[in-house]
Amino acid sequence: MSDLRTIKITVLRYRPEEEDAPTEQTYDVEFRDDWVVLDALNHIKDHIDGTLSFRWSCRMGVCGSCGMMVNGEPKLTCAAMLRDYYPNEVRVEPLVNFPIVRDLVIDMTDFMDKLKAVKPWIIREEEKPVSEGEYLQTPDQLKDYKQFSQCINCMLCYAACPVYGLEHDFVGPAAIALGHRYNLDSRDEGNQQRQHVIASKEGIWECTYVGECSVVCPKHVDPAEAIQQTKVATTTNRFKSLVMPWGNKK
Amino acid sequence: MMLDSETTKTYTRPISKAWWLRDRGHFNRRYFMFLLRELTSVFVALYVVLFIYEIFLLTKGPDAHTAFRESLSAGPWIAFHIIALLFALYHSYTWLGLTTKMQAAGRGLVKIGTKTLPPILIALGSYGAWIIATCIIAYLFLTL
Repeated sequence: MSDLRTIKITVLRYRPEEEDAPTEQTYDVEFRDDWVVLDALNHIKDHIDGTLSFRWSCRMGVCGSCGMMVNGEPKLTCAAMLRDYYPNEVRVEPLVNFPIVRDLVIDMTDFMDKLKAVKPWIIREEEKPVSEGEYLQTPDQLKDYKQFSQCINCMLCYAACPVYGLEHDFVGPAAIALGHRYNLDSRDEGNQQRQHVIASKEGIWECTYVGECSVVCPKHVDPAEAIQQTKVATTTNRFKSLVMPWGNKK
Repeated sequence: MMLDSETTKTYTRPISKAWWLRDRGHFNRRYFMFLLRELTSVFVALYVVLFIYEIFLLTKGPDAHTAFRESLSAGPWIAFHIIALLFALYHSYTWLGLTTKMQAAGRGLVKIGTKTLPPILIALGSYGAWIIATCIIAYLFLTL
């Protein structure tokens, strides 16, 4: 086909059974104008080198599986157009700040543990019986948290955050944003249960506001904003409980 | 995918000490400006130490204090004060700029009734209060 062009794709390879440290491998890939980096990786796996390992699923920016470093920037590879890099080479690496399992596959155990720790689900002190109907919410109440609910757990923000890279205890942008999302939900009563994780030294107070998490977020969740809002809310609540210890502490 | 860290041989990439200057071959302006903002606190702290020392000299009599004030007019001290001022301005400007983050449209913390105040008003209010406070302090220092 006449619209095919060839681009160089350099991939970081790590085969733990063969080598102790990652190496690089370069592939020449013929691509069409509408191909994304993930298409090139799938082309390599299907037609050039079947040993290349990487994660992907939906191919449409929803599942959050295909996050990788593309020319040094955390990106969803399903949303990174090859034509934007051509004629330059494209360099694909696994997300930084995470251990590499194989090739472009990272170990996300640390993130999953932190996500679970913030209890990202609706907590009720007492569930009302089904016969009493749904928990209703106004459009304004939905607006309070909707943006933060768009997170797809792609972990690009963790790769962009130098604080997480240097201090692995940091709960991190996405987990705090998701905890904040449920704290803002009018149906939720779990704020106190999340506070010891979110409002801890390893939580919001570890963040020194680099702001890069919000820059790379493909869903415009703005985790940095969630963290700053939580800092203000936590400080205000603490101050209130000091001057009005008899007040409602929720 | 959850891994058994006992049996899986993973590889952790080291982080360069110069990560804030060169990030995987590229200059990242935001990392650099972030570290510069962290550095501002060093200059602010040095200035505070100098200021406390100056106040301490007041207890040693007017001559000691005047001599110290005169020594501050030397070139290196003036250079230090200019740098400290620039860092203090940068720190204050970025810190107050953060106030917009608690106030994004539709879900801000400062509300009048159910209406969220626009972030720009919060920022302008913060910068305005900063300028007014600076003017009052400058007036007190220069006239008293």
